[in-house]
Amino acid sequence: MTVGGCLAAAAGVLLLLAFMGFSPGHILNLWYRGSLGSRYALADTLTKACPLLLTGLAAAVTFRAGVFNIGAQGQLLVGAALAVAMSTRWLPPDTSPLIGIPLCLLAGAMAGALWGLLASLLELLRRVPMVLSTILLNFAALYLVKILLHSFLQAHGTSAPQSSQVPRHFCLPILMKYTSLHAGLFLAAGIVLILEWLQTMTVFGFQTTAIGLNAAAAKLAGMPAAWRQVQVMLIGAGCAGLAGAMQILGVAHFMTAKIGNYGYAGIAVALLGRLDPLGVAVAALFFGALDAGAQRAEESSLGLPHETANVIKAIIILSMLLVGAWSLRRTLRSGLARTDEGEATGA
Amino acid sequence: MPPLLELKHITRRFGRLMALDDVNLRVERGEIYGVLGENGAGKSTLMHILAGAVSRTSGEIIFDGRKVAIESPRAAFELGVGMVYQHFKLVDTQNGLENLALFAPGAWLKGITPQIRQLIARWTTELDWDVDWRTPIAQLSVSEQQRIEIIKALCLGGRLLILDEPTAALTPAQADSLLTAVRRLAQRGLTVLLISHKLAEIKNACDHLLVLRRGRVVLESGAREVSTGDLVSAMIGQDVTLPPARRAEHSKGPVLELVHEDTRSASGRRRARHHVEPHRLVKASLRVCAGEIVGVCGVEGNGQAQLTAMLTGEAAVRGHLALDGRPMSARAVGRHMRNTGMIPADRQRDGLILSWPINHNLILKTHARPPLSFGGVLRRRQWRKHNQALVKQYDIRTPSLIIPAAALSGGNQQKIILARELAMRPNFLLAMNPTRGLDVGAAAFVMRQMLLARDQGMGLLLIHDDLDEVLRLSDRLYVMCGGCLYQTPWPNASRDQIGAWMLGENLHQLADAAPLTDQVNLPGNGPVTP
Repeated sequence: MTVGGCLAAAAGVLLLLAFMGFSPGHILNLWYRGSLGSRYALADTLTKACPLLLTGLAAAVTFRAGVFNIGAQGQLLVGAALAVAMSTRWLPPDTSPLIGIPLCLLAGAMAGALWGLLASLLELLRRVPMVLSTILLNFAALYLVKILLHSFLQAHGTSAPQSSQVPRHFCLPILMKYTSLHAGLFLAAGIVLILEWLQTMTVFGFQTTAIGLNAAAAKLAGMPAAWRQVQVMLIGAGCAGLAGAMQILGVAHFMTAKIGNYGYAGIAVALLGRLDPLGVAVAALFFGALDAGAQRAEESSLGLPHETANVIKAIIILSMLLVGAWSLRRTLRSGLARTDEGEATGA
Repeated sequence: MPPLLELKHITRRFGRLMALDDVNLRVERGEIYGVLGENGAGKSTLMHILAGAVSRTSGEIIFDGRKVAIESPRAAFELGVGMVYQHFKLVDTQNGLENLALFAPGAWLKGITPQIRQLIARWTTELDWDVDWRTPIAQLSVSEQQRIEIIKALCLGGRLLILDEPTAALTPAQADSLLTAVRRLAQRGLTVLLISHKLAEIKNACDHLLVLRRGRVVLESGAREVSTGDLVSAMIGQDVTLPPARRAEHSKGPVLELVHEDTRSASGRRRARHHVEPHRLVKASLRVCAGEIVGVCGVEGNGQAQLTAMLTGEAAVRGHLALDGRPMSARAVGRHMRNTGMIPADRQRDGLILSWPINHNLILKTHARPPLSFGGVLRRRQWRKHNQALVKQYDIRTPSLIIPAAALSGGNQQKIILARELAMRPNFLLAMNPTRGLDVGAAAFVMRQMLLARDQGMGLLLIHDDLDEVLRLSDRLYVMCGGCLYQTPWPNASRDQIGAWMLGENLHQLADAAPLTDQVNLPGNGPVTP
């Protein structure tokens, strides 16, 4: 089924490129060389997949429990800001990196989690719909960060809204020379494995999935639905905050308000990964490769417009989701047919 | 002149269920024709067929001497048939006029035309009603909303008016004035079909009565020629022989104790939206002991929904609630649900996670206990053993345990729930309509398992529409009517008596049996006979 989705997507992409007057073969070649063609390209793909993986998890973990957390972007911004504050303002410069880096990452994750908790509390105490509050909190976070970048976090001696550089020894170690591939990759991979385990092997995962699929039945079965939903929000928003912190400490090394729309892209990653942590990892790698390849195609002499790259990504996501929904229906229907036969023979 | 409406051999099948089986009916012009029957007897299906909301499987409809096919509500309007549903079909945020315009032919284009205004004026004067057409529906009381619905139906139809449970949400005074208005319309030549549970009321209002039972016509007669007793026995049926009375020793401790009394004045709360809420539970005093089945029977919508909500922790009790001998708040009851057995009324919505495998559904409640999990980690090998045993013991017919619960038939879905709830051996089990929609074999299986559980010392509370089954299973019996719970002397009472109590007749006989519920004087749905 997934094969069918890929083929449909590929056909759509090729048609689009042909219409725009590009040679599809040439563009695809560039795309391949930019994402998978060399070890540097591969490192670029992994680097770009890292924040997408974490924000993808932020959406997947919460969506699965029926908590529609659209606020990964805000949580990511707040996380990044706290990591910057921790590394450039609060920690003494002579702190050991072994203490400083975990503290910065932790601060980012906590900030994200608390930002998410705001939305949870609003829903729990005042029945504000989660979708609404998380989206609005994204804007609140954006302007809060802008204020901070003009004041507390602003680099000394500039008037631009940007932070000081994160001290060298607080930056995440680079895994490969001449690239930005940083040690955060291992942390992200570890989180994927932990979440996958939580989801498939524990009572917590069983209950959160049940709540997401049918909250009424889960509550009547005595599951603590409200508490579980707060817990997944803390985990998901924590992941998003960590993504922000990791992006600062690993890639950017200083902060502006334009950190990238990883939070919104994470929703697509989560849906493509079918809300399963391992699936999200695959989807994030795929998106990372798309991004890396698109960058190469944009920078080449052909000059593929930035928007085209985004359109191509959208085509791919839509065809995947469409095929996903279709195959789910088919499975259900064939299941139905099977039991009818079973009953007929049983009776 | 031919009769206005004649139905010949109307049959409607829903899957294996015969909702209507060869129904014949003849309604003369200017007549008020009453249709009676228990829940699920087929009354609503019949009316929906006339209103074009449901299609018939076979049979003929002859309207005004012509054979017609009513295939849509629009077609019904064009014939002159207007229906007022029990749950009003009004848009809450719009006013009466706008609601009418939604349905009036051509109004989507032209708005409220002078013709429509004339029609409205004509019916309002004939009914002699004051109707507020300018206030949003949500701010009107139930009876005001109903007036709008009725005038809407008359404007759109005008020859045959169908009223489905019109007095269910009205106070006795409002109900009287409504029925008087309906009589007046009938005298001017309008024909009315009236559905109701309330015997006294319908007997007084109608010229002709029809009783449906399990989709068949069991009695048809002029309203004067038939006694209330005959109607009750026709509705409830007498073809089932009852088992001998059960042992009634309550030596063991109570597993459920409930004392609830809602003393708030009802007047403020009756306004607006009340018709969509289930009836409020006003007064209840209930006790279930280990090793007995306590039945609660009543016509749906008399407070059962709130009783259930209180027993599952979704609504707060005004009074006292104790489970397993421990007093509990609503929140504690909700947490306690994992130890309480429950067969919900809507198994697909509340009992199962349909898209999940049977395997998961079977352990929805027990997954957090040893041996199915340990220290928060699930043990899948133990699940398999546990579930395979359940499938065998409860005869769940399925090709495999990994297919979604949605793929099973209703009977097998119910068996999953039954297996899950009984296997955790709760002290208390709450069962709501446990055999609804099941075929005879599956229903018998469910009932046998419940009796078995009782004999092993479980306390069961059975809230059920089907009087036959409640009587067959219950050791003690309560009747629910108009938001109050009455204890009956069952098994020292006849089924006819119980049927009458369910329908609100002779409730004063029960006053002594239930000291807590003696001074009931309910604004909405009080005992019909004082």
